[in-house]
Amino acid sequence: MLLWLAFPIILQTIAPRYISMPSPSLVLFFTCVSAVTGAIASILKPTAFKPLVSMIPRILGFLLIASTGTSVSINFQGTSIYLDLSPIFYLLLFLFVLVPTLLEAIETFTWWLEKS
Amino acid sequence: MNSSGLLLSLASLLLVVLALTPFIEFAGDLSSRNIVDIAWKPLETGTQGVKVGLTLTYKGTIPLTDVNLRIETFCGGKTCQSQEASTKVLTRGESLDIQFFVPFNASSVRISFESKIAGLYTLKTVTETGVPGYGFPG
Repeated sequence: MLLWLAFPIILQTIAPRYISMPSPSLVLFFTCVSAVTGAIASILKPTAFKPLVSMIPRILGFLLIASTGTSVSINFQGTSIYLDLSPIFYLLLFLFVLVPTLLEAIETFTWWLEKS
Repeated sequence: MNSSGLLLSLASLLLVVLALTPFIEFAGDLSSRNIVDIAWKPLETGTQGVKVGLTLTYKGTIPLTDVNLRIETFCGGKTCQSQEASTKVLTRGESLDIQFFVPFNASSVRISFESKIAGLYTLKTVTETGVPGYGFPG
């Protein structure tokens, strides 16, 4: 959860000034939503809704960040430079969206099997 | 957070750091020094134009993969000559050579460079330079 909260801030910090990044207010909004829904998800009993509660803000946050640009384009003294940073975004999607969601889905499924 | 969750988070963080390292190092190289040397010289002059040899030497620390260098010469807004050179990997100190022909009526030359930083991040640069006067600049 802490990592997930830190990740937009880490991105903002390491990103070169030319990267088209989401505005701080959007990141703050997403971080707050993520924190609240993450806290709700952590106290929820495993149900079919639990993965959804924690998955939606993750996916929305990722899309928010990714939609504002995963590449850098600079025009400098007649030279145009294009840098594609999408691999890191795919890695972040995998590590911080897909894997946690899958783990929660497995946890819910296990709980469901035990209950029935 | 239980121990497996903590381990997973640490592994995730390590993977992110590993994936970002080449990019950060490349950006650091780029900001601190000139990582590419381009040297060119006219090889022979014919009746139609000049044959030019260009050598691109890489001086960065992060290896570049799938390197492609393309040179296009424009005559009156249309491509009149085009030449490409490519290599799988370009490491520090290695060079890429290309020979191309510049007609006397050429108006500009476009140099396009494409590669992947450590095989991960695609980098493309395009530079277009005019051909002043009669023949190649210089």
